Parts: sequence; C-alpha cells; structure tokens
Amino acid sequence: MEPLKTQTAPFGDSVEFHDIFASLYPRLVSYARRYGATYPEDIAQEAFVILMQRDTPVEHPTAYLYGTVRTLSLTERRPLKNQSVSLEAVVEPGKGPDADEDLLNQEVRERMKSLSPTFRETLWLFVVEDLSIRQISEILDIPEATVKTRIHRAKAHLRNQLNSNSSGGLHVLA
Amino acid sequence: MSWHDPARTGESQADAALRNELRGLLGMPAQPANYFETDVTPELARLADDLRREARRRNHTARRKSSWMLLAAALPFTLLLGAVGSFATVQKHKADLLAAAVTRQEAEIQRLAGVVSHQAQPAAQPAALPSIAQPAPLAKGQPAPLVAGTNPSRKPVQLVIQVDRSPDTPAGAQQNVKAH
Repeated sequence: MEPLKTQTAPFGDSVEFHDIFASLYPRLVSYARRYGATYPEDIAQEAFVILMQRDTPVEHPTAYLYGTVRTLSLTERRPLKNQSVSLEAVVEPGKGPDADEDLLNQEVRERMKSLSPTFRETLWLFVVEDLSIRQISEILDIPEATVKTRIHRAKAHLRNQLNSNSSGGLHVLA
Repeated sequence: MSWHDPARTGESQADAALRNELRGLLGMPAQPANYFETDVTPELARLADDLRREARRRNHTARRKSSWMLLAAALPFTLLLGAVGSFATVQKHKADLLAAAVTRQEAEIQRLAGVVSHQAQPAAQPAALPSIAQPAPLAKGQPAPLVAGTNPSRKPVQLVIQVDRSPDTPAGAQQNVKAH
C-alpha cells in the first residue's frame, strides 16, 4: 500500500487536507449556487483542482478558491445567456435563495435582500462566510478600503432600516 | 502548500467586533455559528483524493504541453528580435565607420588649408608695400595738401602780371615782381 504521506505530497498531510476539503467544499458549492451555476459541485471541484495544479503556492488558499469559484460561475453563465446580465440577476439568480434558505432564517434573508447586490455580496462574504477583509478584497479583486467602505455602508443601511422599523412600530402603537 | 490562512487568523479586533455587530443587525447569533460544519465522510475523502490525482495528472500533461506551445509561439518573435538586433548592430558599425572617415577628411582639409595659407603669406607681403608708399590720387579741383618740409628746393612762387604789349613797347619793359 502506498504511504499516505507520499500520496498526498505536495499538498500537505492527507488528514489535514481531508478536513479542509470537507469544511470548504460545501461552502464553495453554496457560493457557486448563489451565482446561479448550473453545476455548482463541478465548479467547486474544478476550483480545488486548479489550486492544487499550481506550481507556485498561493498566499491565501481560501480566498483563491472563492475567487476561482466566482469566476467559473460567472463564466458558466455567460454562454447560456448571450446577453448583458445585471448584477442583481447574477447575485440572485433564482437558485440563490434556495442556498440562503438552508443557511439563514426568514428575517435575516429579508434584511439581506434590502441591500443592494454589491453591498449584499460583500456582507455575505464577511458575515456569513466568515472571511476577512483582506480575503474579500482578493476574491472580489478590489482594494481593502473599498471592502471596508461597502461593509460600513451596508451597516449604516441596516441600522437605518432598523430605526425606521422601530419608529414606525412606535407610531403605530401611538 | 499551507492551508493555514494568516489573513484570517491575523484579523484585527475591530474587524471581529464589526462582524459581531453586523450579525446583531442581521438578527444572527452573536457567536459565529458554523453553518458548514461537515464531517469527513468516506465519500468526501474519496472525492478529495480523486481531485488531487486529477491535479497531478494535469501537472504531468497539460502543463508540459502548454510550456512547449509557449516556447514554440515565442520562437518566431525571438528570431525576429535577433534579426532586428543584428541588423541594427551592422548599421551602427557602418555609421561609426562613416563618421570616422568624415572626421579624418575634415582634419585633412584643415591641414591642407593651413599649409596653403602659410605658403601664400610671403608672396603677398612685397606687393602690398608700394601701395602703402604711394599717396592717394587727388580728386579733381582738390588742393594739394601742404606738407611741411616735403620739397625745400622748390622755386618761390612768382606773380606774373600780364600787360598789353603794344608794338610801341620796347623789349625789356616787362618786370617780374616777387611774391611774398
């Protein structure tokens, strides 16, 4: 039988890789589904293969995987609809809400839907996917300052929404 | 390749607090709930191994082929660059030779001009001397300049008064008067 260490080289210990794969693979499948990928499992697997195929190591493998899944999902959608697709349609492609339903309750989903697609995407990666600002900047290919700006604007929007809801409720009670 | 992600572990406390605050605004639990917690099932482990084998297979096939294709695609450009470079080198060498020849010719011309002017200088000097000694020609009606002591042996000017000479006048009746 081939030794486990030799079999897994150069991608680290097999047990560690299995743990990481089991943790990241469902998240990547869900992330691809949010972008309306027809075959999200294939895209997530392709992202892992592309990462392991690289000769040079990647500084942030998780961010690289997310970015690859995002690119592959958008590329997969492109030939299916040979027309300009709005960002709203990309982020909420029909299958996306199904993915959210598995993860978030109705209240959280409603609040997320009130945000613009750009802010919602950043907020999703930051809060739900639990990624850092630096990782998000690599995934979306934007500066870290832009990520912070989007997060703070989303936060202000959510706070305003809560305040208006609470004041509206008080007004109704009055 | 390390799966340890320093960007996530080195996150600042402000970012972590911001995440918790956003969770509160969204109505999510304060503590990060691991929505994607999955046990390592035999199917997942088998899938991970299959993907790793696929990556290794691609490394042994597609990557080598792509490098050869890249090399083959770069070959014409390399040859073109080499040809242009050698042509430019030859042209530069020719230009340097021409510039050196022009410089030599200019130096030769200057040397010959110096020799000619050196030979022509003694022949031209005697011809110039008489022209310096001769006085300038006088204009018509212009009085001659009085030069002191130029002609001391000149005869004194005499005033001659013409008179009517009748046949009756005897010879010798004419008198010269000295002018002062």
